[in-house]
Amino acid sequence: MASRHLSGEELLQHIKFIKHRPELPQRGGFKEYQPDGSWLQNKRLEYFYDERRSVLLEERVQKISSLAIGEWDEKHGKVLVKKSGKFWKNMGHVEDGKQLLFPEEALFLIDEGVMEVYRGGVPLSVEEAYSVLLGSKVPLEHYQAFAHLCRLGYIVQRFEKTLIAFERQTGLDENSKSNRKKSKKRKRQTTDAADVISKRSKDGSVSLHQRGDIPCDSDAVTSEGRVEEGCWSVDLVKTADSVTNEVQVKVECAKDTQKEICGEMSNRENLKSSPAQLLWDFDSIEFPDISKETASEIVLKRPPSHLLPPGVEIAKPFYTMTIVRRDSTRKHRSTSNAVVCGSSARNWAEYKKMFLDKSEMEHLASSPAAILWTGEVTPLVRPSHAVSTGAILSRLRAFGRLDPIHAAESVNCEDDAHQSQIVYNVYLPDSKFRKSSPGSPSVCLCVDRQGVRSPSFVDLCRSLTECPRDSTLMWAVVDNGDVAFYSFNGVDLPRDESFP
Amino acid sequence: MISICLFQEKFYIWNAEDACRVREEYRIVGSLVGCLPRVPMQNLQFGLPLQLMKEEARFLVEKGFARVYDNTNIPPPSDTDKESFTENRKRIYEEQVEACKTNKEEQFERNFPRILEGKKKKRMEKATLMGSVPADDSDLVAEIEEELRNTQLPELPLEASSVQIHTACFHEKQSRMFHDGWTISMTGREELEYRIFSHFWEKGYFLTRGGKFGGDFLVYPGDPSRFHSFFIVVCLEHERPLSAMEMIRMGRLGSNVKKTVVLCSVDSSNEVFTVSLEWSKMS
Repeated sequence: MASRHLSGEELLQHIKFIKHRPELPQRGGFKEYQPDGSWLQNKRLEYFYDERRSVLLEERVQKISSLAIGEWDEKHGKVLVKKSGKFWKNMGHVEDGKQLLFPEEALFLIDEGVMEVYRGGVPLSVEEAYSVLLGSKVPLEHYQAFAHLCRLGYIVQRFEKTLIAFERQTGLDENSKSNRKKSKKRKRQTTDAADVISKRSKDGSVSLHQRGDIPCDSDAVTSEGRVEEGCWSVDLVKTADSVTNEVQVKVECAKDTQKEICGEMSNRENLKSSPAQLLWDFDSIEFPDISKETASEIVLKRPPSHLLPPGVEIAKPFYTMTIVRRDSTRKHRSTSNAVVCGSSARNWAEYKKMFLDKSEMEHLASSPAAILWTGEVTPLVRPSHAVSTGAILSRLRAFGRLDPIHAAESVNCEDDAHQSQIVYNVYLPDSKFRKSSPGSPSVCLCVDRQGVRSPSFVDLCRSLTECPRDSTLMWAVVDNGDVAFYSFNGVDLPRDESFP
Repeated sequence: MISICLFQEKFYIWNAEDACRVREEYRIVGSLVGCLPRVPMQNLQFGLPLQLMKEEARFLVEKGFARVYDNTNIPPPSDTDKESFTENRKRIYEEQVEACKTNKEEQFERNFPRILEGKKKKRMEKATLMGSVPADDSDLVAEIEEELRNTQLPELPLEASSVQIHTACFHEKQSRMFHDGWTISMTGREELEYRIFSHFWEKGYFLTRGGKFGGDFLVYPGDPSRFHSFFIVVCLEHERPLSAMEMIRMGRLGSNVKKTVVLCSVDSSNEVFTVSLEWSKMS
């Protein structure tokens, strides 16, 4: 069924009609209890149907001067803005010098009646716009939630995952945002992770920087000179195992800041050599392997001259060095404590704990209640724990205190088809909103159909790590065109102050 | 025949007449999901398209009231489409210019006596100031009249003219990809819901989705705009065990919103089985 074509006169009349701010059609007034076949009821119903018909038959009419114009770009899946309008303040982005709109933004503007989008020289009708713009890329539920919020005046933008679990857990997200804006001035703070990297790095990279110089915010972790695209994760993996995961994760997210780092690196005084010499190819530099048990001497070859400090020359082509090994079976002078604890403790903290435990057990064994401590099952609480209520309660606790942010990392990442993803950032309607620096969204929105199972705790934790600290995480559930919003809010239950 | 559009596995009606008929004649409610053209920036009332439930669409097709066409791939406009578009634009612009002109002329005719009076007064004042004897009245009047009629009324510029953003597809000659004799596939759960939907429809009720009340459907005795719903329908598999907690939950919900919760299922002999929950006390 083709849509009606309004004649010129009808268009003019409509413009006048809209100018006088028409009212919303009545929603049927008060409701009756049940149909009784009365004439009055039927009349009311008829009136409702007639009004509905005339309202639905109205079309979108706009003056050419206030109509924005766009063109659909099939290849990139976006709308190129040819003639802009008031919407540009809150929607749209610039790429390659062109003003572009995402499909859902453009569709909303067409639906609102303020924009015409051309495809092949002919403007799209709303029906065609749904099919052409949304296509198969943008689900209808996402558009419906988007439009619902836009109609209320909220500013809705697509969510881009910029935070990672590590940043959120350690609180780096508060700094990382401001750092991304200021590319030249970088805040330098040390965190434990970066210190560990510098200590445990096996590469010759520590020599390039002073320890305190390493910028430790998440997107600039570089402890050596590789600045090529995507290479640095490889080298940093060679550092100590326990740091590997964190470091890898940090590095992967920082692709867009590489240019900034390049600039920064060349500014450093201790790297006065040209960029070419910053590229240390560790595959070709030989390092002696001193880990072999059987080797008694190692051969050190002369390094290439470009790796040596200026003015230094090495005479011989190679040197041999003997390795003196400490006899691992030699007996240590040890106390009985060390014999008990030393073999199984992995670090000093554990050793201390085991030592204290042992002395306590000796004390308890001599008390009248010694019988409790023999056997496999021993009491949870010891007399030494009776420091405060909180200390005792913490011993009796069956589950640790759960922090959703940290819970996410301990869960296996299985790819779940129904996993809720954050789709939109929602900002409050604000005349001071600027696209260039939107700040934190007030709501991070996930969109789901009704009938999809509700998010599990795992999903919730994972989504929370992606959400900035001062944003609320919400779900929009779309049930056949009806949008409802739900959120899970943390509640602080009253608890004992001494309870950690 | 009503045309139903299929897109991303959802069903829409884009034509206003069809959207009205489907409710008035066939008791299918659906929900409007678009912006309302006259007041787009609000969420109380919506405009076209009318989104149908899967059950509603299947029902209309099976009863022979509607046909489904696929909107997944719309071909780009052909040359004839482009020509007709340009012609149409030109036509409505010219019509608007004409209409504007007629309007202005009518206005002029209506206000002519006042304009004449005004101009005459001005002339008289000017004349008395200059001290010259005013000419004969009728001459003056004729002079002014001729002057006014000769002034060209400004034409409506293109920028000030209006255009229409069509709601439904307006290519007259576009052949829609109608699926005739096509059945909508449904999962087991959806089949169950469909059976129950038809069961209540046959009894003369109106149905809408019941997500807001924790059920599958809401059942109205008459048009939803005029009456409140009586039942919250929850569809269950016949063999599914129901815990006491669930019963209490549903019972409480029903009594709080003054509706009856009806548990429905399809039993082994393919009959629809319904039972309502009622709050009773023993005293």
